[in-house]
Amino acid sequence: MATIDIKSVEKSFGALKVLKSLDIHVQDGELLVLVGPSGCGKSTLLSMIAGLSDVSKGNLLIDGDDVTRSHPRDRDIAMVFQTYALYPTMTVRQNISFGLEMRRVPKAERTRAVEDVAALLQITHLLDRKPSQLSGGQRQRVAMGRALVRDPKVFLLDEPLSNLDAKLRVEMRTEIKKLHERLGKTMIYVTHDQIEAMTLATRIAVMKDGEIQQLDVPRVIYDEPANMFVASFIGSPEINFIPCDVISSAQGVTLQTEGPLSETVDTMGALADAVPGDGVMLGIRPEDVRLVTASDPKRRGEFALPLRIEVIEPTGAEDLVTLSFGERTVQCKMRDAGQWSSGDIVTAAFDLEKTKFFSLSSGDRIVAARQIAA
Amino acid sequence: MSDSSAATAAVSDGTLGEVMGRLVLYALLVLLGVYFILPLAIVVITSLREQGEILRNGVLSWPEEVSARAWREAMFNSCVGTDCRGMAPYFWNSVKMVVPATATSTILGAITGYALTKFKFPGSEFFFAATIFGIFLPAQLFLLPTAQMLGWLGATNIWGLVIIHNLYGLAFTTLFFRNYYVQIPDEIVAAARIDGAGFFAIFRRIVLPLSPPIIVVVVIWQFTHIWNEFLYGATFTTGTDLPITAALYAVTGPKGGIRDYGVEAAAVIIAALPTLLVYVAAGKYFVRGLTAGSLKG
Amino acid sequence: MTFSTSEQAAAPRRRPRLDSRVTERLVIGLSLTPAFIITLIGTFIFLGWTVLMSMTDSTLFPSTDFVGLEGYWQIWKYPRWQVAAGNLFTFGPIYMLVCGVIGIGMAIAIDQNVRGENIFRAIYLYPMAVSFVVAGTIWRWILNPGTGVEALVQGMGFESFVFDWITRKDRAIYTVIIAQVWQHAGFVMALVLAGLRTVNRDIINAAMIDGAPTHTIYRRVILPSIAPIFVAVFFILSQWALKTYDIILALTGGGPGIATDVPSIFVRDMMFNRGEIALASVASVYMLLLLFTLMAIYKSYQVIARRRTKQ
Ligand SMILES: Nc1ncnc2c1ncn2[C@@H]1O[C@H](COP(=O)(O)OP(=O)(O)OP(=O)(O)O)[C@@H](O)[C@H]1O
Ligand SMILES: [Mg+2]
Repeated sequence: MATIDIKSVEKSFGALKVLKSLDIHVQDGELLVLVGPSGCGKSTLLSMIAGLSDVSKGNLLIDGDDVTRSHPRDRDIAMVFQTYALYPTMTVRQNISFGLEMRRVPKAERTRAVEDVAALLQITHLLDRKPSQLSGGQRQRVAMGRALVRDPKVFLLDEPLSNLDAKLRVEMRTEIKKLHERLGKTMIYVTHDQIEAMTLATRIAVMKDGEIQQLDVPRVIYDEPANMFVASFIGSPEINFIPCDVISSAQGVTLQTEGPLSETVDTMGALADAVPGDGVMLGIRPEDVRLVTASDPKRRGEFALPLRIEVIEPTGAEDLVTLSFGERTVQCKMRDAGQWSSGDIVTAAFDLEKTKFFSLSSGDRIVAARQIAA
Repeated sequence: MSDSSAATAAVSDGTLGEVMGRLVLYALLVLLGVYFILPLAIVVITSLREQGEILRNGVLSWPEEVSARAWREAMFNSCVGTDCRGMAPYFWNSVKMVVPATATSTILGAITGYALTKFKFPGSEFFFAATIFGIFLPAQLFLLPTAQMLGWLGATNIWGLVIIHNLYGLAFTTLFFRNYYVQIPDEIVAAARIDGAGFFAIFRRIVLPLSPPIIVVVVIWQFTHIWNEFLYGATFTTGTDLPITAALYAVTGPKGGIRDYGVEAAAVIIAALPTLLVYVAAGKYFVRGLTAGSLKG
Repeated sequence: MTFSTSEQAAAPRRRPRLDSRVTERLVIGLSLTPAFIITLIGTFIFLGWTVLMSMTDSTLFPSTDFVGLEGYWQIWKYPRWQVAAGNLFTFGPIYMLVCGVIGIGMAIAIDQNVRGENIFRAIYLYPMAVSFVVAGTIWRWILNPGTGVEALVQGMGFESFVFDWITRKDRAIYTVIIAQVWQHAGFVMALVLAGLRTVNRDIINAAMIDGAPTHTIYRRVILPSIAPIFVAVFFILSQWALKTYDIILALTGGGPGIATDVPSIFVRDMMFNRGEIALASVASVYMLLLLFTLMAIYKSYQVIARRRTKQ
């Protein structure tokens, strides 16, 4: 049982405030992913939890114990670094057993623990090599082994996979997920790869500029992003944004996009209530954009715009269609775009049930919209 | 020959002009080589000649016959002031000075450099700047207070010199180690701290095993400088406590009176030999220290 | 705002554990103590003491009777200081120039894909490994008219050959240059050569493909790109010029008379042989000020150069 409580934690480097009063409660056995753009403070937060850098303000509790000012060694945590940070002059075996040795674990026990972990990670045959004689993926495993062998309360992983090539990264991602499920340990995992975040996390904390934008289970983060930043950060290709004016009239509510295009949507009374006379940002994920054909015309509850196809990029599983819309582009992900080609003018329909609306001024999602559209 | 040379083109085709160019180049290089090697050669030759012959033919001439007399006398009978035990005791003085001084200043520099790079604290950069501040300053600035301190400590002997070489060597050794240790990723130290290792355990188990290249550079640098140092040696020690450089300055032949060039030449070589041997054996590290130490310093 | 999905954990159960952290800080503090003491005493207190002494009327023994900057004007009335300072300013620039030119020349020569490069380099650089006293002693014989070059050439039959600079008041200082260039030119070569080897091969190849002859490539491409090394070299040489001491002592002993006196010898002599502590301190502080000037010039060059590359 290991929980982590981050209570009003702040971090400043001189006058620069890098983390602004964070509050997070991590439950036992959870795999919390911290995700966010470069420089948002993910590593800083992690190294404060590890005790490697001081907490400027606030408290840190591991398992209910206040560890705000404890030495890293007294926190019973293990950490995996982006660069692996293996001890270059030691063999793999020594690397893995170093932590046990420092904690005065008897030799026989150490040997057994190293063997077990090596077997678990399938690196038994590498035990007598030096880190310089290992491939990137093998080093990664050793780094994991070094963390696992001590059986700590909490695992901290700082972009552990970002130095691997794409294929290996996917493999190791799966393995980390399996490991987590098998061990049931509390983990905090930092990444700026949103796919890693989505696949691994029990919960995701999306960070920006030292603040948490949203903290929730992956499904909610994806489907109900708290604001434009979260919506655009999670999901690939990125969500499409189209700024619209909302015009209420006797006929209903009209959404008017930039330029001459506009469409009357009659199911959107509540949207108008939410932002009377104001503009909104319409957000629609590429997989929710549908190209209208003769056999499959525009449906009720859809919002349609005539757009020009700029380019079609097949990725194998799907085709990615880039449409232009004035100065903007809209991307559409579909199974097969074979019937169109670049330059065609098509009608793109946005399912209003899937469409998200954001306040132009604050960037926050307008919660009423989805419910009303339905 | 090196592939990275900046002018491979010069050797490409063998026109007459280019062949001549190469000849001139080699002639120049050899001539320069002679300029640099000649003084050493002269001393070696002189040390092997008889005194009478030197007086007859001057210092710059070929030996008529080879003799080891000068070496023997320089080692065991030459006089420094009134002490006619030869250079041997002074050689040992220098050894007794250089070994502990090199060892302590290297260890201190390593620990200081390690602490200042891997356990940063507010003000650690300032601490470092202050530590290396003295690196450029002329020794003359410190002569008086150093003399007073050594007088007060009653250490106007080899041990005084050991203290001085720690005082003024620490800036260099710290600089060398710091510049080396900043290249060791901080994550390694972080990982070791999480693993439960303390300050000295990390130093001994992780940092030190990575240090041999820089230790060699620093030891050679300190050894060469301390062995060759003259001003402090000549100023702060007297009589039989002189290090070899200071003794060399005062050395005369066994009889006194007439100058004995052979003995002086042998004494010169005896004084220069340790550092020359280091240079021959580990020139690469010597050069590395020289370029790093002077550019960063 | 709080993002937790479950209740906040209970309040802290235990007092913060301080021991390991405090111990670690203590150990760091202890490990830095020797360096702290050495720096504080050896650099700052000693420096302060010398500066203080320069403003007193100390003679044979240190005194604390303060006379202010008086000594800084008085020193210029001493003919010996005039000679010493004058020597520094004739000897210094010539030594730097000759050493620099020879060293750079050697580096370029060796950079021509020379066979036996390592041997040449080793020979050019070995004087750096011997002590100044050794170098001074060797050159004393070579330059001594009775034993060295003059005697040799005369012995070959050129009876009228004269090379007696070391014994002439107006020339002796130049013999110091000969000896010190011998000792330091190899160092310049090593630095410049290291710089030449860092020049990007692609740039050189591009210039060759453009048809530029070797000397043009050096002049227009290679040497400008290692300009910072030249500046560093001259800065180091200027420091060495200022600190020149042992080699003069071994070569000429500061003589004939005081003909090869320099500030560094002046300080030592006044301080320990003449009982002029205040005067010696003033001279050493002048050395310090000159050094600071050199450093300031060098640092401002670095700042300007960095700014220029940024643009
Ligand atoms: N020692 C330091 N001194 C000053 N600023 C720092 C220091 N360490 C980090 N920062 C700043 O704190 C901010 C957060 O850095 P951090 O390394 O936590 O980002 P990150 O989210 O991990 O980014 P990345 O994804 O690139 O790893 C950055 O703006 C960084 O410049
Ligand atoms: Mg990071």
